[in-house]
Amino acid sequence: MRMRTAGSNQSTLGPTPSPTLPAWQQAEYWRYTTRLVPWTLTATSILLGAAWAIRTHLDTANERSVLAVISTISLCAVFDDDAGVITSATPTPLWARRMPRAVIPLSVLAVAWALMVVGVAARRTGTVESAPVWATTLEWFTVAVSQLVVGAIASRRPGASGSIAPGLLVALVWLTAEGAPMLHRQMHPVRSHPALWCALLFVALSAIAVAAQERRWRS
Amino acid sequence: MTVTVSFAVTVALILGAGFVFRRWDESHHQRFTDEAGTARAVPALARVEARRLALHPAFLITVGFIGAVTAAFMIPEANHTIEADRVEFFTVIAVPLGALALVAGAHRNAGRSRREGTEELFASTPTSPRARTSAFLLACLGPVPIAFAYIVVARLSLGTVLDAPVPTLWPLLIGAAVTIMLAVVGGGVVGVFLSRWLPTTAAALAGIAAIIWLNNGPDNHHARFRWLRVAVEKDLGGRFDIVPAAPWRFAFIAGLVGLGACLALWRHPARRSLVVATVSCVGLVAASGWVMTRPPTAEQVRRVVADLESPTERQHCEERHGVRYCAYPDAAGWIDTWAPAVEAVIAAVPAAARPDDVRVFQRESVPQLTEPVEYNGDLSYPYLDEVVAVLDPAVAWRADGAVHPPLELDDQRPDLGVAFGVASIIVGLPPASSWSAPAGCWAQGQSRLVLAMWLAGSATSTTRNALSTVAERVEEEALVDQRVPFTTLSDYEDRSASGDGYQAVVGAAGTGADVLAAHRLAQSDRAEIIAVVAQNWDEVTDPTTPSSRLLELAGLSLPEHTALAPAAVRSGTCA
Repeated sequence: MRMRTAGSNQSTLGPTPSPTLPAWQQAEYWRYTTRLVPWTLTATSILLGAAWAIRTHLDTANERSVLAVISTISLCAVFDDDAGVITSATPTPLWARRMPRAVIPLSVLAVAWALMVVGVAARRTGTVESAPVWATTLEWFTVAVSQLVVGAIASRRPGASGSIAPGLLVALVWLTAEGAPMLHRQMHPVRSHPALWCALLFVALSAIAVAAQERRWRS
Repeated sequence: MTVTVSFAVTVALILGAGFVFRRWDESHHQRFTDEAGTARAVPALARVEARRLALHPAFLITVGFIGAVTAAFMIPEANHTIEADRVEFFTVIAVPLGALALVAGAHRNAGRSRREGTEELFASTPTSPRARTSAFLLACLGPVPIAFAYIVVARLSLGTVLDAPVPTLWPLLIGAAVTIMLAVVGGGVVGVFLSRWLPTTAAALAGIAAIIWLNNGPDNHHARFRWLRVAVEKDLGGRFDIVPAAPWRFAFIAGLVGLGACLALWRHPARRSLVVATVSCVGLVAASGWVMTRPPTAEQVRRVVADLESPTERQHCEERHGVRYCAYPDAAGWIDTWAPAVEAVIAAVPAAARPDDVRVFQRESVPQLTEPVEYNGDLSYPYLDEVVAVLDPAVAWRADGAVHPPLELDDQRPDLGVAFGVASIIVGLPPASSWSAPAGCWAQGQSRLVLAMWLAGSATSTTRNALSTVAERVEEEALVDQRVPFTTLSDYEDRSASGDGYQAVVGAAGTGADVLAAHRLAQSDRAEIIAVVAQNWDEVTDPTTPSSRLLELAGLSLPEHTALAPAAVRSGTCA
């Protein structure tokens, strides 16, 4: 049997050689990764987001922004790895270990968020403060990636796993940007500030990449 | 669903889920449930945990971040969003948010042994699990000194930074500070409670959401049941609201905090003292809640109505240079700001035109009382229904010839409104709006309106800045032919009777062109304008004289893009 870890070029010869498949093409790999997702926290995020969407009908841009913040809080915990001491010794680089762990919950939350927005939009009857789909989506992804950033940084700190405090702090930052008039004017509506939001998204993605470097930040 | 039922259901859900979780947990893992041990180490443990909780990054970063944002973005914000006498609440808003962060912090601290797999180790120590929980609960007092220090520093900083004197509403501030301190303790207690029953990360998040929902959800806007929460959002008239006595509020919140602590201890085997404590806390919450939700008495309603109809009876009054000022005691410091502007306006007009009975009486702006106003999905009057039923608005907001600065004062334009009111009296315009004319009268294009604006806008350095600000807004927002109230305090809940989104306090209004004309005059030599006005006093104060004539006498002309507006108007509707 030929075994290979994700992203690795090294392999171990077993008794029955078989054609090599990349790790991401193997079902067992995804089953394992799926088990690592903090599902309770993810479900809580989705439930809170759904409650908010149903309660507010998402009539205003502000309500949709709050939904983006609520429905992505759980992403701050997706990189928590209680087995980090063991997995850090594997030849699979950190970025390759982290990528699938972010992709699954991010996809689930994105689908849930889209369903919430579409579902509520189909039910509402009053006046709605409309916004283009690209702007709403850009805002959600930027907020989501910011949660991944703080998760990626916090998970480098020993003993930091299992905490939602970093996610709450990021949520607080976004909610403050919503509530403080001077900040709000600089960032909203998203359709009027696409360059700023794209820049934020780019910076956030870059921060994730930097945080996925193997160099240890703290001994 | 009422807030009481919602609270009971929430607690029952947590306890129920906790029981289910415990049974599942014990059936899947080997747990050490030994409750033996002593409580002698509680004080020492509490000290350690208190320090750990007080220095928890979630709490400190939240308070620090919100404090910095408040200082950087909220306090300098124009008063369209923050009224002067409410600024102080924005300075302390970081602490309640820090209390919410403590839910996560305390939950994490109290769940440390489980997370790190040291439960077995702790079970072997002489300290019982109950004592450990007690220590965590006592540790919730730890963040209080930091929160209190923050409030003191924030309040002192605010007083230093702002130019104009912000009235300090001491009873409100002290009440809010005590409530906030209890909320800080409560945030930690909720975290410990949740960690004992639902030691999962998601529980902390759900707990924070539940707190926000219970505080801002059911009955949040109900006239009486709004008091059954820690932070009361609904305000029915500010100073004219009928508020339960502070000790009942404190007892209610303290009872809730105590109940949270008892419920955390119920995770361990029952004791008689715990039963007594739990019953006492429930009794305290129920009794204080019942008292706070009683309808107002006839005497309370009568007192509020009297305060609205005859506010000077409860105000600080004094006379300066023939002008009588009355303001609520907390706002008495503003008289020092108003007086120089008033005296400058009076000194700028001919002696024969100077009024001999100028009164500046602080008064609530004219509200919308004909029907309830929708705000945040809730229909209500600006005051309690019992007050509205008895109040005679024609008396409360009578046209008495006095200048009436509102209760919500503008710390960026502290004296412009009062100066304009006095100038309006001098030129024959009404100095304040009234029940019969809530939006004031319409004096568009009249020379006397521009004269009043100039008199006010050139009185002091602050009024000059204020006039420039209004003129800049007219230019930027193309309001040349739009109605522009000279003192623009936004009505946050749009409950004003003015109908334009601004508080009804101004007696006469014109267009942006009038503001630009007054600004043009203010840019000229003041002594020369005073001389021209004195020579042509009767003409420039005649209601039929257009503003262009005033500029013509002063040897000025309007900017080209504003020329159309005054030309279209020859007379106003102000009597």
